[in-house]
Amino acid sequence: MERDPNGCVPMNTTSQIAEALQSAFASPTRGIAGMVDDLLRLCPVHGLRLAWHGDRCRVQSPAGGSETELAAPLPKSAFRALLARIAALSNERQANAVSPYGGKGLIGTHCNPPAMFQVAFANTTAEQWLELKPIGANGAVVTEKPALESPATAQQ
Amino acid sequence: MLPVDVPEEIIALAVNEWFPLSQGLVQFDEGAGLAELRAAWLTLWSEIRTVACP
Repeated sequence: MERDPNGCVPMNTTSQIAEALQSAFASPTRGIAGMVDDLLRLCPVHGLRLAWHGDRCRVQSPAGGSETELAAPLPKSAFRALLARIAALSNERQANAVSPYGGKGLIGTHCNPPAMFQVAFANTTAEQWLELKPIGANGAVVTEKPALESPATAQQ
Repeated sequence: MLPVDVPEEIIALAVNEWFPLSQGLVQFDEGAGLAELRAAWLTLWSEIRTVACP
């Protein structure tokens, strides 16, 4: 699978991301830990947001703002366990960075090349969501290259 | 620390593709062993153990 220098898979649309996540979540090979590894591997360069709404997991692209529902029957308990794993990884990197119920932190992967992510999440009975954003080696949020100006735009 | 001896047939209800035993933890949820665990709770061997903080 083609990956960029940050270890992220280049994907353009929320539905593409949702499709890839759906496939990974539908048949997890290593339980919750494997699901989190897959999530980090599939996270697009501009990040993503997962949220639980009305018995379904929804995927949102922070850049585009569009939202897609995961069709695979992911149980809420698995989604909450995934958030708990994110909390554990955040605290592994920096002790007490987040509470089990939410917070903001950093997590890294040990894959080649290693990747770092900024995370924010809530895991309470009232709300369950996760925001994930790849960051560069210098701690900067990774951004996509700006689109080239079209001739029409350039003339304005 | 509260070790509890949970029968294998109740543990089996909590095991699925998201929570395989190989993961090293068992999560009892509604529809996945929680009701059965609660029903059997008073009959299960358990022991309160004091853990000293290092």
